[in-house]
Amino acid sequence: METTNNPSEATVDTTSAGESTAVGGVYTLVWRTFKESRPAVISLCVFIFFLLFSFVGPYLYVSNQTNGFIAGSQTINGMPAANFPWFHSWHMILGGDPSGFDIVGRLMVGGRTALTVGILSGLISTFVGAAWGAISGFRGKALDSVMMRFVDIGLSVPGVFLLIVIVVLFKSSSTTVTLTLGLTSWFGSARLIRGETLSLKSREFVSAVRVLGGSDRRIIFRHILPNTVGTMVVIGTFAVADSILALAGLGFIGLGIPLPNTDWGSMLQNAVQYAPDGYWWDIFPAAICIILVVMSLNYMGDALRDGFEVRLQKR
Amino acid sequence: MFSYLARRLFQGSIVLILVILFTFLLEHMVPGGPAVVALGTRANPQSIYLYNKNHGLLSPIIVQFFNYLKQVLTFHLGTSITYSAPVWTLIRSALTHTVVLVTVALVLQFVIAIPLGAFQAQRRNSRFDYIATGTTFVLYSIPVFLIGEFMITLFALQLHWLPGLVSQTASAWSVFTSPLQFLMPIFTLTFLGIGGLSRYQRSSMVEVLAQDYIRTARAKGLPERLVVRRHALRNSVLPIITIIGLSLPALVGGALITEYLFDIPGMGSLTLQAATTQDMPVVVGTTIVATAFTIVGSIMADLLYASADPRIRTQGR
Repeated sequence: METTNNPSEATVDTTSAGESTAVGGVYTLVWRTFKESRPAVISLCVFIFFLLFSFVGPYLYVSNQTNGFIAGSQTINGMPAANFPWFHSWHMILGGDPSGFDIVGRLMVGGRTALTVGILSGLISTFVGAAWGAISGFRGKALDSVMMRFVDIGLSVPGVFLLIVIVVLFKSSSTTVTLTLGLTSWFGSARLIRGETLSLKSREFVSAVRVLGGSDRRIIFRHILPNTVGTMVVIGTFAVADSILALAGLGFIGLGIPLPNTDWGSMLQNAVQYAPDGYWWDIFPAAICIILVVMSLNYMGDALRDGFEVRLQKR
Repeated sequence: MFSYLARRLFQGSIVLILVILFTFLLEHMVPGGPAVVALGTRANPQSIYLYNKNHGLLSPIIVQFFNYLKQVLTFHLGTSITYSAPVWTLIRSALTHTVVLVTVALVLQFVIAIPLGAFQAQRRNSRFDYIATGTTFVLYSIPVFLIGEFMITLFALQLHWLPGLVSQTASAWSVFTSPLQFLMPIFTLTFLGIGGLSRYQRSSMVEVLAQDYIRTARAKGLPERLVVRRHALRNSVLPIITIIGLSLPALVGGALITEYLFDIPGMGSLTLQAATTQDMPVVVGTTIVATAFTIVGSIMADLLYASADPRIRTQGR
């Protein structure tokens, strides 16, 4: 019974001997496919860079992120303190933003918010969706149709509007946004995991657990869900990307995380206000961060899907 | 076909009622309830009591909900706090803008994404395919407001080719009469879906091209042009129609940001203005109407699918 507990063993059980001698487990196999895709490897590096940049960066590049830089004349080296696009000293590599914050330091603060909110809400949405889908698919019958109708409902509501309602009612903060994003975006993953559960529940190892007296809960959480880990990883990667995009959108429309904290979307909104005055380059720092992080996550998700699909094909 | 429509309408109305329930509950979950939402956290107990009394908020919550539901379903969405006008009046004038914008963008998405995806599938793994896949993938990762912002910066602020904002006096139908000012907003919204749609179309077409009936069509000597147009394209578009319904929520959400960006007086701008001034009746009203619009849209997409697919079209006969 315990052999089916983790997915790598479950796969070894079902792969033929010839394949399993060369393969150390699912993750080695996935990693091998992942490694072959150059965009995916570059994306992984980019993503790790942004993790380090946002969480370790503030210790290496110290800047004042509680009070903006306000010199008497609002200038640095004779140039305006804000909207200083090129290198002039190690103090403010990208210059300052319109409120006088160091842009590089600001990007770190914004990245911390974006990545924390993105990853946490991605996790929430993946796990809630997976649990919902697995229970629905495993139990079947009336419960399944009720639970899936609920998913249909969730899929047909424009989430941005709900997000705005909640942010207005409960004030924007990392916690509200994380919870809202997580709890309004799991419907798609519930559908996918349900589909996988339907095919898994007729497999022998499930019958084996049942014969041995395992409860439904044990089957769902110890045996079915661990076997959908591939789908969950892929869904999770895309969910993080979507959450980061949603948070950026929220910031852009002026409902982002309030000062002194910030997020990349709010930074963009700040910059956009000054774009008509000719400071269009202010858009780029935050914009590039958003695009790079989201793109790297999407590329990784794509490569992971290919990797796990290879596993499915070889079974 | 008729029973199918009836079932979908029934499902749709349940969705709508649940969304109304959800927004209703949200307002009551705020500490102090709707009175605090409307009057602010510093309102004194007397005015809160008066507000509750005047708005029927002293009755049991279930009674309140059914009253609220009755009001909403008869288009009585309350009164805007900032405009002191009925919310439905505000929404009605804004709704046309959003509906026209979303519809035009949706049509354009299909006009661009379907040929693109089909062409990519036909020349699978060619250089064109790789470039198109790469481009659409990048588009898919760029947030809609950035595309819009880049367009404004480039075409309006730097090159002065197009107006950066939409005229406030323009009616919703001026998309067709003076399209120049709507060019950027519409393309911003169109780009939002092209990445995903063309990927779906490509994989659907790849699948169809591998079918036996395509081989049969080729074997009987049909020119490739006809094979593609009559046999492959038609069958590959079918599953894409179902995606309309699923992509609508994202499109309506995208419209919100696009309207904000180009100052189009639609539902999105209305919602955002209301959000910044804490005008809850308007925010809740637009949320309900936007959901209703999405539901109607996806029902229409399903009907379109049913009428396009002969297997479903002829089922009831």
